[in-house]
Amino acid sequence: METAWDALAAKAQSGDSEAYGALLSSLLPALRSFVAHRVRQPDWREDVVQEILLSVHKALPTYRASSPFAPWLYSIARYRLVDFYRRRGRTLAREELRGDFAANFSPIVDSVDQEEASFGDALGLALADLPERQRRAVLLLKQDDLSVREAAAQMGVTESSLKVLAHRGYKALKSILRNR
Amino acid sequence: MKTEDLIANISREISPRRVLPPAAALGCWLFVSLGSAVVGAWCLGLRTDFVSLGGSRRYVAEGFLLVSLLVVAGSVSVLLAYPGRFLSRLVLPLLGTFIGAWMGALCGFLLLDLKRGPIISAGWGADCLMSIVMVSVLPAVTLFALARRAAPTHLMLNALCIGVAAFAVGALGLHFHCAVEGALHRFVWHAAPLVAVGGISAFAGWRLLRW
Repeated sequence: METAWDALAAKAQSGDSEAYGALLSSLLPALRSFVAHRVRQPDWREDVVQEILLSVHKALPTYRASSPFAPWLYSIARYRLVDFYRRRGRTLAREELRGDFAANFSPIVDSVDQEEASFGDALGLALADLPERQRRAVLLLKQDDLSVREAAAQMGVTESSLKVLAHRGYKALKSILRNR
Repeated sequence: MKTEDLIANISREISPRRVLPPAAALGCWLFVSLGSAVVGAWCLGLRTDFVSLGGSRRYVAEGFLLVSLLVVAGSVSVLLAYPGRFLSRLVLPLLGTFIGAWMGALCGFLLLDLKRGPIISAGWGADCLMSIVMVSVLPAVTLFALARRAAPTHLMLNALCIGVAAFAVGALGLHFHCAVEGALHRFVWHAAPLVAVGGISAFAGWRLLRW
């Protein structure tokens, strides 16, 4: 297989689009297997495979036809995987906080709806009762939609401290809204 | 988009495109770097005793170690920008060896200086450091540009090598200019800042080299 890759890659470099298509198609099973062993969530696997294919497309001119294709390919695949995890890590941190927020408030929203009260008003009043730093952390993350890093920088605290502040804020809001 | 559709789309876009081969990229960088070191030393002013320094073993040894470090760090940084060309796990031991040789030699000279008599201070060498940084700028920019044209896959390591290589160029330029012979001065102002510059470069690399 690797020898076939070498030959197809050499042809692709000279502009043969059929060979290039065949090369990319023949890479798919290997890349899917590579990614499947390293990415747990099935939903993300195909995204990572596509990103690797795009990177292969971009970097193809750096491949030297006389050397084996596999080390070149897996260097790029590993790089793209690490990059994916870094980006995903940042997004997850946001989603985690959003999930935290939603999990804390969805039952309250329901109950507030049942009482035909405006959740926005209730939340506004509850926010006013929060300690200043907790309120600011919640608003920066939820109202201004900043990332944890950006919000932490604005408040001049570490990312962990900001997460703690936001989490305490959510708990306090939950308790305030429940008691109203 | 389905992966098969993506493949169909990008395979239609293929066209023969060449990037500079690593050897040519390295040649280009060495030309720029040695040019920068010579021009830098010329602009700053050659040491007045430069002609007679050929007989000084210490001077020649330090110059040789600097050139070795420059060539090794530059070569590694160029090779790292081409996927699969260099084993990333060799980078740190290799750089460590050459940096260690240079700094070790300076420490050896320092011990020799101490045997001759007490050393009062390293002297003020902020201008030396500024000059090294100024001479390093063009080689660093060139290496970053060359790496960005390729496909670096170890961003921080690659940028660390770029920082070390560029700093070595600056230190070589200063080697022709600075007339202070004391090993302590050379260690504190010409060599030790390499650690900070390498670190800054490595962190900058994550943003500058990402593709």
